[in-house]
Parts: sequence; structure tokens; C-alpha cells
Amino acid sequence: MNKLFRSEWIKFKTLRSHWVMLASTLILSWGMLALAVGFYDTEPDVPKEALNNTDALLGAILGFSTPVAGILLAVLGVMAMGGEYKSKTVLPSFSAAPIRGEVIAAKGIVLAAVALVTSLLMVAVDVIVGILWLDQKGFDIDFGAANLLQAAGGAVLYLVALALFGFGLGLILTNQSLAITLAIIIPLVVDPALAALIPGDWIKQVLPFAAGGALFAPGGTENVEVWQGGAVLGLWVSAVVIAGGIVFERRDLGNTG
Amino acid sequence: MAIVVDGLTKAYGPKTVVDDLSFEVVPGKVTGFLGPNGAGKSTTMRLMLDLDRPDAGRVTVDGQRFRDIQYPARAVGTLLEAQAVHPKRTARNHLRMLAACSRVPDSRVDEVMEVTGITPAANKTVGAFSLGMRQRLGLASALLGDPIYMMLDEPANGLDPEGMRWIRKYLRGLANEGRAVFVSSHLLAELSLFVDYLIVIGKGRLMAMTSVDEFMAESQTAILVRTPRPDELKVELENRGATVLAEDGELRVSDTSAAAIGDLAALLGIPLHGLREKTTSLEDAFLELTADEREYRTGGTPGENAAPSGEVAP
Repeated sequence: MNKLFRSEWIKFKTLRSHWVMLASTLILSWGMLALAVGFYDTEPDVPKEALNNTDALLGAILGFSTPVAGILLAVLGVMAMGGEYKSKTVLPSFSAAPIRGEVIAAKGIVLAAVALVTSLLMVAVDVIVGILWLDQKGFDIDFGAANLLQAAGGAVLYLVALALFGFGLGLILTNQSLAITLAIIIPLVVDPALAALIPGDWIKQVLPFAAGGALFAPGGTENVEVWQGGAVLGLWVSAVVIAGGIVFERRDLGNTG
Repeated sequence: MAIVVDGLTKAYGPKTVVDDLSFEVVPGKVTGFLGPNGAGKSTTMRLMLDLDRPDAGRVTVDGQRFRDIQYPARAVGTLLEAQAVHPKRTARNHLRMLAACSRVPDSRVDEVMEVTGITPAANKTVGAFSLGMRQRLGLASALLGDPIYMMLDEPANGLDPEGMRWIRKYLRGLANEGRAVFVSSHLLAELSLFVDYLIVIGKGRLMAMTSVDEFMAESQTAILVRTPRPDELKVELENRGATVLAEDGELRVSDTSAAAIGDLAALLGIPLHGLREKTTSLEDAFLELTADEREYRTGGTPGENAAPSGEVAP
């Protein structure tokens, strides 16, 4: 397995597009943070006292930067596999390592590790810069609040899950463009639309991204506990990745056009 | 010691592309894999490497399934498609990622680039490579593990005449070192220059499996004889050492001459309705063999089906 991790790491690090995606993810996430924090107290009708509580402040720090970054990491996840179909490097790659399950496991783990490191950096900067900036604006944040660690840790898990979600789509679909499109519109459009259109709270408890959002919401969301959100998102992502693994195991790699 | 292909079968939807194919690839020989375009050569190679999943049949490398080999690149070196490279990755990195799977050291990466003459382009992204350069890169990747078996799908495609001569010599040399070289082409002329054995397929079926010498012998002059008493004449000719094949009301006779057949028939009083010599070239023999099996036919316009062989007759 070690040899495969090494091979997959070489594959990942030797394509500039992967690094461009990671840099874009960080920049976009921090850009969203700047917008959310910068405009936090510009609503004229809301009294400052209502804004000055740790949960609301954390919401501003992570509530926008995390889902946006998640979509880019999902795209990166698609690229990790889709790029191999598109360039047909599946042929030499799987001639050099014919046990497919091992190769895609190594690929998924390398991707998850990259997403984890990136997310830790992203969220650490989000939280530190966000807090200092809001502090300067005169808001008091309780560093001791239990929700601080939960929201930050939850954001990191959410981001890694999205990278794996994209990876699963990339395994299922040989058409990389289609997989990227789905990786963007499912979390951004389909999931919120279903949550909004279907009446009832239950729908928000079963949709992967509506529920998964509870991970980085301080103390969870209105309808979903933190652990619940993590479990629902985790199940969905596992289902997509496992389906991808099954489809991939049976696929004729020469026939992926 | 051999790659043994046994009863390999594959259908895509209703179309059987590889049909109960069995053959062996042995060390010390260059085995040519010949067939018209669309005959199933590439599919067969992918099936042998477990890249496409066979519907039936079995492939073993020295008795082991390909997927059970611990370091596959050290057993079987492969070049399936020269275009199967990521355009934004450098040649060296492409080789490094493949080398890592079989714990082949990076120093070997530099060696195979030197051997195939791509060292000057080692740090260039492959997207800028010509087809010929990609073929060389593909050959370099096949050589990475210093394997006993080499499996190459149309490796000369896109090479210039000098490159084609070089690759023939190189592959011949590998076989002479005791390695097995399995190389496909749709051009008999190209293969006949350096292979020992020929495996000929058409529409996924085995058409012939023979040494090149035999194949050439078979394709020499034959005499076609038409007579109302073919059985009688056949026996008499065979008694005199000729080889006779009865086909479509005609006798196809070799190992004798037209004059001898005519004299014999006159002596025995067997009437002859036709007697003509037919010389078949290697290419004719191949075309004849696969005539019913070719998937695509051309109207016979000169040059219409000309493959980019790169070799131009003087």
C-alpha cells in the first residue's frame, strides 16, 4: 500500500491545476470571511447588542467561508479521478497497479489528507483573523465557548467530506465536466432548493448539505443537532464513494471514451 | 514461463469483440499480433492486463494472474496508448508516478529516458510532445521495471522511418536477451521485418498462429486446378508428393508445377477445365486470411486506407 500512496502523492503534486484549485479554495474562503466580517455590523436596524454574542459572531466567521470552500474542494475531488479518465492515464496507471480497490483507496486517502491540511489552515486563519477583526470592531468573543471548537472542528470535517463527495462523483462518472457540474450544483442549488421547496423540518434533517451544515453552525442548526448533521453527511458521502468504488471495480477502463 | 491466454472472450453490448482467443507469448521471441483495424487487438491487450473485464477466459503470467503480481511493472512492461498521458505533467513525473507503483527507483527513470532518447525533454510537459515523442515516452514507461514481458500496442505508430528502424532493432535486441516481446500492428510488412511468431486475428477470432517462415511458405505459389474428377486427381497428386487442398470445386496444389499437373492429367486421362498459377504475397496471404473478418472495407481507392507508416518506398 505504501508504494501506492507514494504514486498517488506524485500524481497529485505534479499537476499544477491541483495547487491552483487549493490556492483558489483558500483565497475564496478568506474573501468570503472578509465580506462577512467586514459587513457584519452594517445593518442599520439591528442593535449592536443582538450581534454581540459568540454564536452569531462564529456564524459570520464560518457560515459563508466554509460552504463556498467546500464546493471548490468537491471540484478538486472530481479532478483527482476525472483527470485520469480524461487523459486516459487510467491505462498506464492501472497496468502498473492492477488492484483497483487499493489504488482508489490510496487516492482517496491522499485526497482526504490534502483536504484536511488545507482545511485546518483555512479554518485556523478564518477563526483567528475573524476574531481579532471583530474584536477590533468592539465585539467580544468568548474564547472559552465550547461552540468555538465544535464549529471550527466541524468546518474542517465538512470540508474533507466535500472533497470525498467530489471524489465519489469522479469515480462514478467518466465525463469529468459533468461530474464537476454536479459537484457544484448539488450542494449549491439542488440541496437548498429541495430544502426550501419540500415542506417540513424532516427534509432539512436528511439532505446531506442542509443537515451537514450543522457541523459548522455553533451548537447546530434550528432543526439539526451537530452529531446528526455529521452522521447524515457522512452517510451520504460514504454512499457516493462506495457506489463509485463498485462502479469503478467493474468498469472497462479502455472504454471510457 | 509464458503469458498464457486461454479462451478470452469479451462483448460490448451485443457485439463480440474478442471471441474465444487462446495463445501464448514466450520469452526469447518477438510475437507479432496482427489484424486489421477493429479486429480486437487493443481490446485483447487490455483484457490481458485486466483493464477491461473479460466475459470469459483466463490470462496468466508465469502461472500467476496479472493482478496477483506484487510488482507488475517488473514482470510486464506495457505500452497501450501513447496518447494516455496527462498533457500538463512532465515526462519525468509521468514516469515517476508509474515507477512508484513497483518500487522502481527514480534513477531507473533517468535511465529509461536516456535509452529512449527523451532526456532532453524530461522536464517538458507531455502536451507539447509529438506522437513520436509520446511513443518513446510510452516505451520508456514499459521499460521501467526491466520486465521479462513487453506488451506494446502499435508502438511504431507516429515514428519517423529512423525511429521505426530503431524500435525494431531495440525490440529485437530485447528478445535476443531472452525477453518476450508481444507487439501488435495492422501492417504485416512492418511486423515481418522483426518478429518470430505471428498471431493473426480477425473480428476477435484467431485466424492463424504460426512462425513467420511458415507463414511465408504457405503464401508461396499455388496452382489452381479445375476438373470434373477432383477426388481422383487429388489422390494421384498426393501420391507424387504434392500438397492438395480441395476448395470450392477447385484444387489448390502446391509443391509441384503446372506442367507436371498437366502432364499427369493427360497421362491418366483426367480432363482439366482449368489450370492456373497463383502467386500470393505475404500481404495477399494476410488479406485473404482475414478477408471475411475485416470490419471496415474500402472501395479500393489507392491510398484511401493508407496507414501513416512513415516508410516510403523509394
